[in-house]
Amino acid sequence: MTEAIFPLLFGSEELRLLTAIGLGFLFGFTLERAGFGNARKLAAQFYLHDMTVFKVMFTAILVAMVGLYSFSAIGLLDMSRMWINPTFMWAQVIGGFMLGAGFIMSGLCPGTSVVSAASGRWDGLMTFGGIFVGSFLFAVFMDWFPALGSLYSGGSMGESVLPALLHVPAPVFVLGVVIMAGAAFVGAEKVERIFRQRHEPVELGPKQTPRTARYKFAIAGALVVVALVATGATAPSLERPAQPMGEVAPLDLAQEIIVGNPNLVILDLRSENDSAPGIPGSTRITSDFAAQQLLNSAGSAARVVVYDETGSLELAPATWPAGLAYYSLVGGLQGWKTDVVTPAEPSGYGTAEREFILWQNQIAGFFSGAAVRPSAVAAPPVVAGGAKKKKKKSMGC
Amino acid sequence: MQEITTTRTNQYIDPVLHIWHSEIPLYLFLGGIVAGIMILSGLWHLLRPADERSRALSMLPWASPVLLSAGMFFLWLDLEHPFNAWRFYLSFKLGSPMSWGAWILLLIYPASILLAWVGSPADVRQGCIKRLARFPSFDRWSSWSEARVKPLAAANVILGAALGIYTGVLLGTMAARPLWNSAILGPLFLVSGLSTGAAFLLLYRLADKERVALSKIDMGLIVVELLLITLWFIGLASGGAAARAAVWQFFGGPYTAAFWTLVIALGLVTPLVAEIIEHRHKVVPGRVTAVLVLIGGFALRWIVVFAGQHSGWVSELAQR
Amino acid sequence: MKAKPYWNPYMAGVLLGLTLLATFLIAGQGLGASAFPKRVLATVGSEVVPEWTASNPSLGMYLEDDSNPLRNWLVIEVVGVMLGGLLGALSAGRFKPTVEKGPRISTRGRLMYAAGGGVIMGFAAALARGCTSGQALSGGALLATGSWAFMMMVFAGGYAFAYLVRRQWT
Repeated sequence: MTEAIFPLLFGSEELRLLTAIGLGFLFGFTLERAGFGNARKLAAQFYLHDMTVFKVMFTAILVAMVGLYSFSAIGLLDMSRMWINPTFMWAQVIGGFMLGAGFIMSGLCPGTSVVSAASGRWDGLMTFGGIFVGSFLFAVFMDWFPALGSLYSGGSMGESVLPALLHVPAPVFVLGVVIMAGAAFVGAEKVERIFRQRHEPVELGPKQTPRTARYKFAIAGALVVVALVATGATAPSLERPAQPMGEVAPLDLAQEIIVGNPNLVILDLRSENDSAPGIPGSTRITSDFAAQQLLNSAGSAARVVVYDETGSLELAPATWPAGLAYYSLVGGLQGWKTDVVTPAEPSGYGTAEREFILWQNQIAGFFSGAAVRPSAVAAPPVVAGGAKKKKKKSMGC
Repeated sequence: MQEITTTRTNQYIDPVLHIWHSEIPLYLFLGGIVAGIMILSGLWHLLRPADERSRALSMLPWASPVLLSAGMFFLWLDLEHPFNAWRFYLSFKLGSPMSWGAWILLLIYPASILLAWVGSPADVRQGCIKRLARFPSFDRWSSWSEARVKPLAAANVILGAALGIYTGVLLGTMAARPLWNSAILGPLFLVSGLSTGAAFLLLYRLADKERVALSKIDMGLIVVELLLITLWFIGLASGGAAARAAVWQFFGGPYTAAFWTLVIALGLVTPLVAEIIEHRHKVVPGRVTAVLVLIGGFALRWIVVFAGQHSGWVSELAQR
Repeated sequence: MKAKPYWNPYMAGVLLGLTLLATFLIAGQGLGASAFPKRVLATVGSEVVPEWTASNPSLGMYLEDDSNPLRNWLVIEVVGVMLGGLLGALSAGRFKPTVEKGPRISTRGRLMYAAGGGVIMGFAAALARGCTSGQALSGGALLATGSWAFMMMVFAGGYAFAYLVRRQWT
């Protein structure tokens, strides 16, 4: 297996930035030549008499997807260095629906509005200007309505990808998408023909290439795609390894145990000859196989927290299920002992400090044997030492 | 802007010069456009005296004094002692480009205003003379300048060239800044000024024939500009360690992306290709390429001024 | 000059896909468009209302690491898209200052619709962390779960409202 050379490594960020102008140029040029600078051509997609948007977009997705998974399968591409859009299900479902509504109103999407404006269309320029206003409104609304903030981060699933989510091997999934898209292309051609007969389509500039030529392209494209998938499918699969999602503070974990989060799975990864008792409710993992069994049975909603003696754990074993996201415990078992099991000494006189210590002592009491009603500790008066979430920059789009 | 006559070991100058702010590139940009308009309109009078000119083109030379005043205003804002500016005119220092510049600026006003007057459409001039009939000397001035179109045009070309070169030389004489310390900077800023001047004219409603002519001139200027930038880089790259470190700023250093995208791709190559396409397809050149040239021209001055302040002798030595 | 015909959609799709693939392989990320307005807003905001911008959940993240928000791959890429669109249209003889609309709507009405759609899309793209380029196209090729959900919902939204705004196009 060769060393993964992609994505390319650059000596400095400035040199990587330079590639943007060329690749962006190609993007804009191709979009324009496909007819995506013309709002009427794009809007026609939604009136079914010109399916160009669907055809171009899905062909592009297929080519890039097959290329990515093939390159990754033969070991030329290291997917863990790739920026993958994190999933925030609710934000994306509602945002997607709104964007669709905006799309049909302006006849352009943000990327194509740039192309449209660059080819002289005033409607493209207006759309592009509107996007600035909309982004600004969103920023303002985030301040005004906290509910929008929870929608924004609602349904977080991390860097979830469909093959891992559905437990289907990636090559099989890719092949399935290709076959489905092929069927969809045939369907799109049919729909287009029916709706063109039904009412005269708007004149969209020059006539398109004849149908036979179109099919020739489609068949050639399909052949290339199938060949690439075949190479990908025969090569050993290189999936994304399990990824640390962030850290959990001991007190937060304690609270989750007390409240009884049903999805919580705590894994004890200390070495075998360490005989001290671990965190209540955790499972001692002695072999990778046992971990795999447990994690597979826990399902995709599981919140996996791992710990060892000192919290030095960096990476999960390579044999863990691909795509798994887990959290590690700050300070490991030692952190747990000092923060949770040992009652805190009063150190301050402010109300907030005192309430915090009270809360901490209740938790300590729970774990050192004294009975505490779960409801009493369910809500922390002060959120302190909260889990530090690893912030990753949103790529935007 | 302070003229640096003190010893250079002070915190404004080493390791990084940071006493020049965004007013300076703005002034250099406007000065370049003025130089371009003056040279182009002067040459138009000298080479094509008989040609019919569109109303927009005959009025546009008035832009020179207006834009120059705007540029001077920004320059004045940047002066350390704005109310001592008049002292520039009490002396003339042969060795100081700032002194040269101050005097050139003073000559440019009468020359450009008189040429703009001569070139204005006849009805505009008649109207002005009628309205200013109270000042009999105005009429005399008018006929005096009308009799001297050619010398005025030549003066405009010469002063425009001087202004254009001066915007570059102003930076070029600073030996302490390796990036600026190059003889190419003067011609480079002159050519860029001509190109932005042509682009500025193209923003207005010119006749088709004039548009085509200006766009052709612009194409040639862009090619020359690209060559001069190449020469500038070669000169720096074959220089000493400090010069090499200075040019590295555009080849992997902090100004790489900005320079290549804004100046080269957006400001030079794209307009050039666009103009070639327009000529090949016999389309009348539009305003978009002109806007790109103007953005590129401003970006060039902005980046050169800021990158130049970053390049230095001491800073490079300190990094070792 | 007569405008050249548009490319065959499948050929255009293959070229677009190869561009996208090259982007992934070279830059380690996908293409995008809506980061540009947000980063411009963050830059302007950091000059005009620095505290509000830095604490804003939507814009503040662009200011976290102290570097210029415009010094970013996606920002430069959008400049490239502009240049590519311009030269593509010019070389195809399609560059023309005009407004694309159906015969039944006034130019002014069409421009209002365009701006309104832009506002909605700007809001939606900020909410969904991406638009058709960054989510549907790039995330779709990576088979990201949320991106596919987003893509389906874009088509759903488009078809749901198409009838209401048909006056614009036919």
